[in-house]
Amino acid sequence: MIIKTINIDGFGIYNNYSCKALSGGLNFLYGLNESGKSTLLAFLRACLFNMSKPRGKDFPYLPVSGGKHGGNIVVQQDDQEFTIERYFGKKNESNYYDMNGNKLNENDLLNLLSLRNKLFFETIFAFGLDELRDLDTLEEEEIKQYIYSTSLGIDSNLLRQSEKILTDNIDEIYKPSGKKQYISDIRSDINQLDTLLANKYRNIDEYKRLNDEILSAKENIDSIKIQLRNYKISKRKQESFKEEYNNVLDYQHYIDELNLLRDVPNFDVDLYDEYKLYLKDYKNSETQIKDLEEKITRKTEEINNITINNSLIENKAKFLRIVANETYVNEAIGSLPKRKEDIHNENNKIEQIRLVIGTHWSDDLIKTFNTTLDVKNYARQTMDYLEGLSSDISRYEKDLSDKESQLSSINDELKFQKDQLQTLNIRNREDYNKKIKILEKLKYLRSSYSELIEMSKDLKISDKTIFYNNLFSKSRIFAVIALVLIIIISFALAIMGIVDLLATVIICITSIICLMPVVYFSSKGISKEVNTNKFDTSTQDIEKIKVEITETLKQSLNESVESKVDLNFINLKIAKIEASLNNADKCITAIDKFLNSQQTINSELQDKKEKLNKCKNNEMEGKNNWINWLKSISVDDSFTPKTFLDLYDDIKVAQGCLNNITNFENRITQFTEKKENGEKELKDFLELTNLSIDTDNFSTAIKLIDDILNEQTEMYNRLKHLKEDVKQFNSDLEDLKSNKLIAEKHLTDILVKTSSQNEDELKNNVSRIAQKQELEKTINNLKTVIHRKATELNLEFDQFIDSIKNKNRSELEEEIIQLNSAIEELEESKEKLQTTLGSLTAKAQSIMQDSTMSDLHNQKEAKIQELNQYAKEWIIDKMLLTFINYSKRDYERNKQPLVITEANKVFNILTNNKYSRIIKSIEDNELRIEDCLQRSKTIDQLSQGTREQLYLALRMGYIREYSKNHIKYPIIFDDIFVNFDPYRLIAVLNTLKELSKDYQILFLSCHPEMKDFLEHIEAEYNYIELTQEKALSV
Amino acid sequence: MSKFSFIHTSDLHLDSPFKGISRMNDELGELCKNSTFNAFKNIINIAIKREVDFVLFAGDIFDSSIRSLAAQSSFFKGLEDLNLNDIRSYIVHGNHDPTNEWLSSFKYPSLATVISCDDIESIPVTDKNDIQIATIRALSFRNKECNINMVNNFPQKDDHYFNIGLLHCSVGDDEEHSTYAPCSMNDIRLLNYDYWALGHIHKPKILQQEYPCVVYCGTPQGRSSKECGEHGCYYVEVDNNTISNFEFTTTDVIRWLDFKVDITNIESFNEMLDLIDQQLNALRSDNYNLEAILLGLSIDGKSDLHKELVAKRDEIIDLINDYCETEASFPKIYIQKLNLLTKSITSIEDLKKNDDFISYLLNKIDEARTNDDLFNQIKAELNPLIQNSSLKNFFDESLTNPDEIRKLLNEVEERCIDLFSE
Repeated sequence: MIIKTINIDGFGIYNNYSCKALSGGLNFLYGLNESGKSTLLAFLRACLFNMSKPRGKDFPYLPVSGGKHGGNIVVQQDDQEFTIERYFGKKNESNYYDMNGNKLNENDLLNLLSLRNKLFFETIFAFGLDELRDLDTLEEEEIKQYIYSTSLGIDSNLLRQSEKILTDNIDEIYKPSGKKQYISDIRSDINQLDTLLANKYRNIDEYKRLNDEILSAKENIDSIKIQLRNYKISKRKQESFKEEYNNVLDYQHYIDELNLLRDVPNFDVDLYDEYKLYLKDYKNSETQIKDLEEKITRKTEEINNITINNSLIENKAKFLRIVANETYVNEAIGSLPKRKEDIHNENNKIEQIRLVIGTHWSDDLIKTFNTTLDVKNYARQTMDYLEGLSSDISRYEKDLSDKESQLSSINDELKFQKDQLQTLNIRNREDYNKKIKILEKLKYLRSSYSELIEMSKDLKISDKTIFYNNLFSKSRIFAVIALVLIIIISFALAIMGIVDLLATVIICITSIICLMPVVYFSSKGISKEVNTNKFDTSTQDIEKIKVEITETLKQSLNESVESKVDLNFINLKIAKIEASLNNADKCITAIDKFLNSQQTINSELQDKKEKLNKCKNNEMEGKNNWINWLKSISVDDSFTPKTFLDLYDDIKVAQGCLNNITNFENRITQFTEKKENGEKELKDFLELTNLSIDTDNFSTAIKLIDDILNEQTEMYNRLKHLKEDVKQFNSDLEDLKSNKLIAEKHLTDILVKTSSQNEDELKNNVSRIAQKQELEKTINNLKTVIHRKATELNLEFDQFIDSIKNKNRSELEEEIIQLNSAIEELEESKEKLQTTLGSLTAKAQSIMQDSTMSDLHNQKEAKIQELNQYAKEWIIDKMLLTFINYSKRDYERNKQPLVITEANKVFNILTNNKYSRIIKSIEDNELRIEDCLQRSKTIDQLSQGTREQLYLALRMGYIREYSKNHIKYPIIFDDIFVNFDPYRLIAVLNTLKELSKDYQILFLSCHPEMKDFLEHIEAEYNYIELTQEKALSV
Repeated sequence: MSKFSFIHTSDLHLDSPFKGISRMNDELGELCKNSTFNAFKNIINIAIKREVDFVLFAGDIFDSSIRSLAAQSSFFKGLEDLNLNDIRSYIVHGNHDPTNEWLSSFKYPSLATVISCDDIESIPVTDKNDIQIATIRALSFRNKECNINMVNNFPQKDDHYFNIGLLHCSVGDDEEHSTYAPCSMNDIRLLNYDYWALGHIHKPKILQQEYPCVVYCGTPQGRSSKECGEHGCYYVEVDNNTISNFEFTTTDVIRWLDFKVDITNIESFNEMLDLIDQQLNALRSDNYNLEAILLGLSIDGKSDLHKELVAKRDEIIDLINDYCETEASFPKIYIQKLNLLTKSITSIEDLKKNDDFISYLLNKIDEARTNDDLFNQIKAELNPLIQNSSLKNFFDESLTNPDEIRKLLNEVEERCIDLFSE
């Protein structure tokens, strides 16, 4: 927005003042004091944003030089000019006009020019020095919000509280310069634990010391023990010497005695016992020899007294054989009558067989049967073979007759089926197949016929429709004629007055209504005649098919077919043909089956016949072979194998009978001979044995001989026993003599061995040896005892003996007493040392088992853990606090309101970079300034000039920021640079120069040098000098 | 060919205190104090029960800085027990028990062999019938620091027997443990031994399964939250110079475990406590053979309870203990650490998108994650504490290591939301 013209009617000192030379850029309005600069500022403010009357007071700036209180200004916005006219008084007047003088609606214009925000304009865009200096002017809530628009997003108290919590916690845990903190407490606890541990470590040194003492005590005890052991050994030695003193003396004495028995022969004293045993044997043998010799004499005498018939004894076997023969012959003779009866019976059997066999009986035949091998087997095999063949022949013959009867029945069936086929006019399978093809053709024709009929139906033209067409075409003519006639007649009757005209009309209309449909439909029918041609074609096709079907049917049925053919007819005929073909198919299948059976049976028949013939030939051949064989063995060929076998069996039975007879006769002869031989042998026996017994009575003689023989046998046995006894006695006698000699030899040997002349000397020697052995045993016992003692003392036996031999008892006792006292002394020392060792060990043990060191270590670790936990907490809080500080600093730097950011740039320029940054605290709205060394200052710490420059910079920042979204108001400064030094003044003018590119600036000043400064910075500006009379433009 | 078995253990750290235990009480203190001894007893019992031929101790049996007599007494008692059962033992010294540090005058039993620190020893191992079954190559250390690759000095494999390397060293890089006698897997592979019984790393770790089998058996009892999970020793069976059975056997009596409970869709505090109780009971039954569980509990999920949880952060552990722990609860669960991973319905990301101071602050914290200058400035503010000469030795690495401090930014973020949430 640019203020183009200012027209003041009356306002303060101004009266009828007009300024039309304002430019869009920088306007320097120079006027001395009281020239109305501030009044002009007030007028512009009042004109743009109106002015209200203070309560109880008049409007300010009442016209003092006349004129109506008010005026107007012309402003330009977006190439349009508007006039704002305001007059103040009891009744405020505000008028708004466009560039053509048209009055405008107040609201529209105010909205267009944003003339509602008076506060913003007066505070930021149009202000004097006092307002510039007063920060409070920027403290209005709305402006403040704009300037300090950025916030934490949280309650700033929360940030302060959080920082306090963190700081307190950090200080509580650890503060380098603080006193009461957790970490230092824990550290001192650890120190205490370390002290305790150090004490415990001293215990370890104590333990080592104790251990050394224990070792030394143990060494001392060990050395005492060794000494003690040596003393004890010495003591035991002396005691042993003392104990064994008598034994050693005894030992010496026995050794001397033993020396006296040195010349005693050295032999085993058991030899004497042996000598005594042999002597006993010798004497026993002598007694037994004498007894035996007496027995032998007695037995010999007895033998000499016995006499024996030796020949009788020797031929005893012969006699027994004679007796046995006699017994056997007597039994055989007793059975003779029975045998003779058997012969008679056998002869009877032979006679019966002869009667049966008749003429065939001959010896040759019997011979043949006996000499020819396997006659019976051959006849039996032949018989079986021929019988087998005969049964096969009869079976085959039966099979043949069965098959022939089957063949005859099949032939009958075949004939029946062929007749059936004949009735169906089919000869064979080919005929059948031809008819099947014809049937298929017929079915095809039927479907063609059916399709054609359907087609005719589709054309809505059938025989029936044609008929109706004809009918309709005729009725149409009839109907028209009838209608005309009815109308004529009706009107005629009406004319004639017979009928009422209305009735005539009604009749006419009725007739028309009745006959019109007829006319209509007949005309429709006619319209369909166009299809007749197609129908005709179909009809012709149907006729053709009918002819073809007729022909096919004739061909198929072999009969004339009615000329009238329709679908039903064709269906009937096809069904008939199908039925006959079904039957024909069955017949043909049956015929095929029967023909197959016929063929099979014929081949079987042929086979059976061949087998029958073969059997018959074999039978013939077998019979011929049989006859030839009979001839070969010279037997009548009239025998069949069966009759031959019967003959064979009979002849064999007869032959058995004959053999039996011969046997019986031979045995009778044999018995007679044996009886005679027995008598002869008895005589020979009697001669041989010199026995004089009458042999007339054979049995008595035998009995006598038997008695004699028994007596002689008994005597013989007695003699034999006696001789055996004498023999045994002689043998025993020899043995005894031999034993006696052996005993005698042993006795002599023993005497030699023992260097004795006789038994008494032997006995004496044995007694001395026993005495010597007793001595040796005693010496050995003593030696063992002494040796054991010597071994115990680690002394050689002889050394031990010598040690004792050279001492007397009292000396030994004295030495023992001395050793005892030394041992007692050592035992005492040992006990003392052991007590010391015990106490040392107990102390060491108590140190070793002291677990407080482990506890202390654990406690220390727990404290360290606690320390770490606190340290971690500290670190986390410390880091967070540092992050908060860093974030705050950066937030303040980077997240400042845009107004501050813009102001910052201006302030930098104004202060020539002495101050680098304006900072608004994020927790409150306090402003701070940071210099180039980043030292922060509060506003109070700034000089007046710098403070004014800061406020100016803030306003400029605001202007820039505000204009981004709002209208660019003209900027009006009323002599605000009075405290600026020349450098800063140039800087600010440079800033204004820059600003004037975007804004209209009205720079009111009473300082003429400003002009020079503007010249100096080569600013383009519009110079206006303010007087009360007029305004001049430069 | 011979059959034999052995046990591989290391880093017993007998009688060493637990680290990072919070809410220590007498009962827990007693359990912790005895745990390293009990774990060692478990190893000895396993060796005796399984009738092994020998036990390998790959260093750090004691903490020489602790100078515990009880530790040594217990160890020598264990060796005596092995001796009585005809079980040999081979011991090397590591960085925590180097030979030039304090050692008391306990005597090693006859079947125990302490490896010298002068030179690499090749020890023929014989079975109970005095027949050689294996060769052990081992070395002890004299000092608590060593930067020399010792594996390079180990002799080549003896092809006649099963070859075991016994050493306390760092193989490859391990961020959690200081580097000690460093070597590479390749150095180890070149020697072609059959089994490497290593010590130094406290978590059980199989570096290579076979040819050779390279194993860190870990400490038998975890003593800090870094050593969470199962701890034990390895039982190895050898048949015909080949490993026929190889199994990890737990020995720990107290176990550190990390456990997460998701409370998404949980609406009330009681409901949450019920859920935690239920899941802790399941955890107890899974670890019934332990004496106690030291738990790092994480509560996760998007829930309305988030604000309340943050506000009651300091009380939650007590609340859970009161609700879930009874006299009869076994094993006892001691919650050591609570990680609140829950998120409120409005997430931090949403807050960051706003145009206010909080978002500015949160974005600033975010910036520090990537902007090293900013982070260093922030970190410099912490120097009065973390550089404090009398304190810094006590601080955990998580408080002094810049990367670890950077991780704390999550908690700073949480604290920020906690403070500024209305």
